[in-house]
Amino acid sequence: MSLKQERWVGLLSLLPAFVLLAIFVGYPMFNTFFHSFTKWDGVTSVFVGWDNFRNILSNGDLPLMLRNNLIFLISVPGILLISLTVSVLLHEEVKGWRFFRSVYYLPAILSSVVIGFLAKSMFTNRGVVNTLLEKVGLGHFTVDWLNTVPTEFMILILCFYWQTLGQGTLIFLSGLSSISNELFDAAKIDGTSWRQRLFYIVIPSLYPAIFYFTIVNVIYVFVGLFGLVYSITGGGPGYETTPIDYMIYIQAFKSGNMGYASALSVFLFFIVMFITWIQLKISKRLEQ
Amino acid sequence: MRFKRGSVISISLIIVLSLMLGACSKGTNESASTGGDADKKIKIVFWNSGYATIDENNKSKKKEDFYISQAVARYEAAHPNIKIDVQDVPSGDELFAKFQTASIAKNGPDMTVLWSGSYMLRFKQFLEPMDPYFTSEERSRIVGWSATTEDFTVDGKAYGVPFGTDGTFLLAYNKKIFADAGVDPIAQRPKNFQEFVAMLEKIKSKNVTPLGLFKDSFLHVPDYWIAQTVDTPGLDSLVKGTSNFSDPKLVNIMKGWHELFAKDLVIADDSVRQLFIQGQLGMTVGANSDITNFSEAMGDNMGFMKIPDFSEDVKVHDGGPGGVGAAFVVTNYSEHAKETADFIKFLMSKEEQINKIKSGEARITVVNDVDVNEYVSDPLVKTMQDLANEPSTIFWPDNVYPAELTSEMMSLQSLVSRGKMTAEEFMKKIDQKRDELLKSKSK
Repeated sequence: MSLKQERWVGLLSLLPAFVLLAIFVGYPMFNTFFHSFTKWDGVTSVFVGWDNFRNILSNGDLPLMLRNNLIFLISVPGILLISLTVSVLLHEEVKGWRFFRSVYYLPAILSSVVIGFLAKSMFTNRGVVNTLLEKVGLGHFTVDWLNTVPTEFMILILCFYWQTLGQGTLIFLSGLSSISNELFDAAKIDGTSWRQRLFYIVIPSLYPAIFYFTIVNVIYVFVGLFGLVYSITGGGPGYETTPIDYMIYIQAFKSGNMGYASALSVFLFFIVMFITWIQLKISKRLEQ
Repeated sequence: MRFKRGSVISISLIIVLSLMLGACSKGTNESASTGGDADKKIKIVFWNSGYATIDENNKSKKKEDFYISQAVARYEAAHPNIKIDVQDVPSGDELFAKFQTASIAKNGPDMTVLWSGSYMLRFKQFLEPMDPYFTSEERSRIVGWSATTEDFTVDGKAYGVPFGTDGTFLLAYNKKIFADAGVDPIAQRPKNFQEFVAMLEKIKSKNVTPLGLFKDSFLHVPDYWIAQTVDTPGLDSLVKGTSNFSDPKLVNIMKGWHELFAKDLVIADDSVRQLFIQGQLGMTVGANSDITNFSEAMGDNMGFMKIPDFSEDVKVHDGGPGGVGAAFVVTNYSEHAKETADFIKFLMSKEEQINKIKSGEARITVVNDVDVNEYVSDPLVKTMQDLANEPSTIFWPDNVYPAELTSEMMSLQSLVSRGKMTAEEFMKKIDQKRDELLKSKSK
């Protein structure tokens, strides 16, 4: 086969993937970009220029939504550390590791809505948590968990952590298995502490995995928390726990502002792209 | 004949892609799988969110034992060329999202049941007007058309057919708890908000949560108080911007809403029905079906009363929110709109409404040629039907407001109840939102 033929075969082999991407990713994206400049009711769209974007910037909801997304964003390092610690403990085969190895991934296979409703039932006024607190004589610590903004965020982040722990641990465990045992043994002989091994061997060796995990979860907190917010707080009280992706749902499906919701989606797309670009820059600098 | 390897690969890829795209393409609407062949069955897809198909108290009850399955069987027997495919879907926001996305793709159902008024009219671009299918005689035997028409008038252009009525939304109370607190809510019916609060405080003094509300009970209580203060024409002028929500009278209602929470007289939890039946709440809100369910579970220990008036100078006294809260709709992309409308007529026929009442799944009706009293012996059901027919029952205000305004109200009202937004700020924001909507509509 000539070089030219090989090139054609290569291109044709990629074609199905490109066509599928164009249909299932490209077309919806183009459609959303187009409708972000329109007032759209699902059937007819009227061109309104930049009006939707002007409304996003001027109607006063944006700072609150960005604050909410920022709160979720700053929770990412927390789950990174927890996943890392759990994977190191499992890798070092601490007591009970066999049991934990078989259960740590379970929350990752549950849907966000299932986790959300589970958490909601636990934290309602008369849910398991408050009942338990009362039963053990800590009744004065009972809180209306789902009606107070800081505790609502706490529950949302707790659910996010619970759901992500399995994925993080799996990623880091696979990274850890690629580190030579001899390196650990040599470090132990040299008298290094657990902490030193973590910071000087494990973390540097896991750098690509950490980077991958961070990027995936930073994107997730912008576009993937809908299920949890929907099932736990409904974005309230007011819009106090409404991130941008949930506002897209409210605008599109509760208010019927499909054009405005499309503009918000485009806005979110650029925010995520910008943050990912920053992460890539930082990563390149760290690599150097 | 010998093909080059590249050509073989190209042809194979084209075939594979054609198959994939063929599978992805919309093709014919599943709901209208007949084509032009007269011998083929017409399939009508019904997204059912209105008829019961599960009995929480009797899980062994089979699907075919429910009214809708039996009605469909009767219809199919009388119309052998028609197959009704009843698909159960959730109601409320979940249905709206599902219906909206499916309708954009034109692969939604032939018919469904949506909340009436603005909720339903938000989708009118996907709905078949019902006027050509219902004669004036057929319309006149069904009440509540104004909940389905564009301009909320009885004779307006209807985009749906009244499905059922919520009756009048009431307050159910636990007689024992009230008696223990020395309160008789019927004899000493509160005449205004202050008296209502005083009554709830007496219940609270017995260490019982006085009032249980749902998360969306803003629609059941303060929104009703707003409606009774301004009456139906007043609601219309609030929507049109000729009067304002920031009217001090209406602001006071939101202050009252906050006071109920600030004084710990209320819990807002979606499990209030169970808590009430378990005797953990003094009162809760409910539609006619809730009241009869409470009665079945609690017997004589359950009493009910209308929501007290907010003040003595409201325009509608001793009423409640309610009315035709849901409507049948037919999609305008249905290939069998006429057959679908005929099926709706069948369900609304006198015989079927009687069958529905006899099945016990419907307590009250929206047709005026069926007297519930002839078929139901329970005096409570009769009372519910009488209450539903009272002129003081105000049609759900949220079904009259534009959907965006209701969405904004529902999102922000919890800030008022929790003291994070003042009543004045809330009403000002609602006015602003209303003005924005009017401005955008006029563009």
